[in-house]
Amino acid sequence: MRMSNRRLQKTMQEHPVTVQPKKKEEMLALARTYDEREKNEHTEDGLQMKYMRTHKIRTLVLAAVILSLMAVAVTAGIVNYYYRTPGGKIVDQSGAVIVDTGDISLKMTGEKIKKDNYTIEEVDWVSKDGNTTFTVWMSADSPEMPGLYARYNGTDYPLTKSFITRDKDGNPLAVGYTAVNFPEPQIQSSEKPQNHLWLLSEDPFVSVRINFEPEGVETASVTVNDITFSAYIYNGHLYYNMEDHTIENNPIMEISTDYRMHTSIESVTDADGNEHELERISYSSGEGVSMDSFKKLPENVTPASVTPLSANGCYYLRQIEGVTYCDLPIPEVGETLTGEWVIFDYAGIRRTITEITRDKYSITYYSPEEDHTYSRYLPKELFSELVYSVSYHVFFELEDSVQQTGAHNTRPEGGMYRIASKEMNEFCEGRDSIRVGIRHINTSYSAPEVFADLTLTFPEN
Amino acid sequence: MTFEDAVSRNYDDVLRYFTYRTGRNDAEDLTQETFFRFLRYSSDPVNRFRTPQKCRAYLFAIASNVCRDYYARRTETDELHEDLPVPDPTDEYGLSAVIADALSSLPDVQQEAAVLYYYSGFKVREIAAIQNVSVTAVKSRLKMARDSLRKILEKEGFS
Repeated sequence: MRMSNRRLQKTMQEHPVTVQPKKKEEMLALARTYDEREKNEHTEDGLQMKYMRTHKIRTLVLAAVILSLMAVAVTAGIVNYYYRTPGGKIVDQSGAVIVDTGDISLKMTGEKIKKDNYTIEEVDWVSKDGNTTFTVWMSADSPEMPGLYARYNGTDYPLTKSFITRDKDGNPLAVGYTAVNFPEPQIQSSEKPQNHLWLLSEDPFVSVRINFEPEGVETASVTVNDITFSAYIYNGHLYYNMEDHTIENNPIMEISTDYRMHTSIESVTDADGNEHELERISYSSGEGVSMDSFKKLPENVTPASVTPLSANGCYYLRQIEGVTYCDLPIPEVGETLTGEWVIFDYAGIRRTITEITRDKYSITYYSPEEDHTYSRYLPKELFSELVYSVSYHVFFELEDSVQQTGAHNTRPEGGMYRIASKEMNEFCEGRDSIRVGIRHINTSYSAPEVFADLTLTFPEN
Repeated sequence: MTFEDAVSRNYDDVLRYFTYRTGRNDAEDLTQETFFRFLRYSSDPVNRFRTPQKCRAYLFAIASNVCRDYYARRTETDELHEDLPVPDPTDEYGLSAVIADALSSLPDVQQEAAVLYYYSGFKVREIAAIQNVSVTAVKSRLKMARDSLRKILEKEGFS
């Protein structure tokens, strides 16, 4: 008889295989532990801890992302700062040295002064031996006359004056020559021949290269808009001619206004023998970069009544710093010396003495006509101003005094200069030479009128 | 429903399932593996299965996969059910062994369907879900399993 389905099911279900769970308790213990943990997870504290774990992870991830972005931004900022062009401020990959001439290097100090129209940036100028350090920065106290200065041992030295500078819109505000006045220790620190130094300006189109020789500065050049001009250094100042400069706007030429008082003169004596003490006054050129000091005559002393302290000539109470002198030989009485003695003044005006003649009471100097337009050191605009509106004198310095010639020249066509005195023979006795220089009067930077008056007083021969 | 409930309610049945399917030696380990997978595969498994029946169905679905993996790992030379007792029709223990032996002779799919149907208490529809086949297929498998078991048992003297 065939087994029915119901019978089969009953037979199977009534005889199941017996099982002996040996590890059931172990699994139950594990399950209880799991349940306990789950229970805790769903309590307030558990949920809080779970939330904190999740929140912590999210916070860490977010912080890592922010830090990465900041690192990228800072890196990009540094790269942008140190490799930006133009501007010529940075050339070194390290970001520290911007100029390295072998002996002299410029380093960023990190100091920067923001002005309305300019950024003034300080750099350290450091010699490689570490003994010479001074700070260079762009000055823009006056938009018309920003400058580059060096601070050395606490003293400021003008490195650049009347630089080409543009306002924030790119319009040129000032164009002029560069005046460099290096402190002697710095120049002497350069031992390698042909060393050069680049002076970097704020203007991206202007750079100055100065070559050093062991004995000091030798040559220099100025590059403006990729045009290189030869430059002239003398008496610690650097000049270059901008007459070929092609900036469309009318360039404003500026010249140095560094005057100083002749320190040896403290008083004058009038015709009556009365001594008048001079009052020291100061006169600022207005650019905020130079200060002129003068000594003023008392008001009751008229120039005509002034009697020179020395036997001949009169005093010049104002002397131009940077004037070159020429020690001219003293001929014997009746003798005429010929040659070429060149005198430059601070602005590059040249005067050549070709003949020196001496008689019993005077010495006469002859100066030929000269074409000053050849001068590469003198800007055309400035030259024109000087030639047609400025008088200048050849003066002679005797002892500590400044002696005025018996004539003065107001044109560049040449002329005769004479110093005369009854004591000429005594004066010349024991001397080999007389120092001669050029000074200006009535320039656009002239001193108060008292000084111009004084220059017109000549001794009677 | 807690995990402890799930274990206490189903552990014996899962163990029996593996005893029928694989023999006593490995049944306990496979049962534990089933519960471990139950935790591992399900996020918050206990709360996921609100009713014990759904939890049980899911457990046996896992057990089915564990069993499949178990056979996949074994070589053909392995001897199955070596630990089952020798059939002895005179006592209940022997009868159950005869039935177990008869089940082991069935093809896998029929064997599994029969174990789930007769010993685990699943309905045809639930077995279809566990085996991932149609209800008709399960019915067919059960019919073939019954025919085979009937022959074996009748041959052994059951009627």
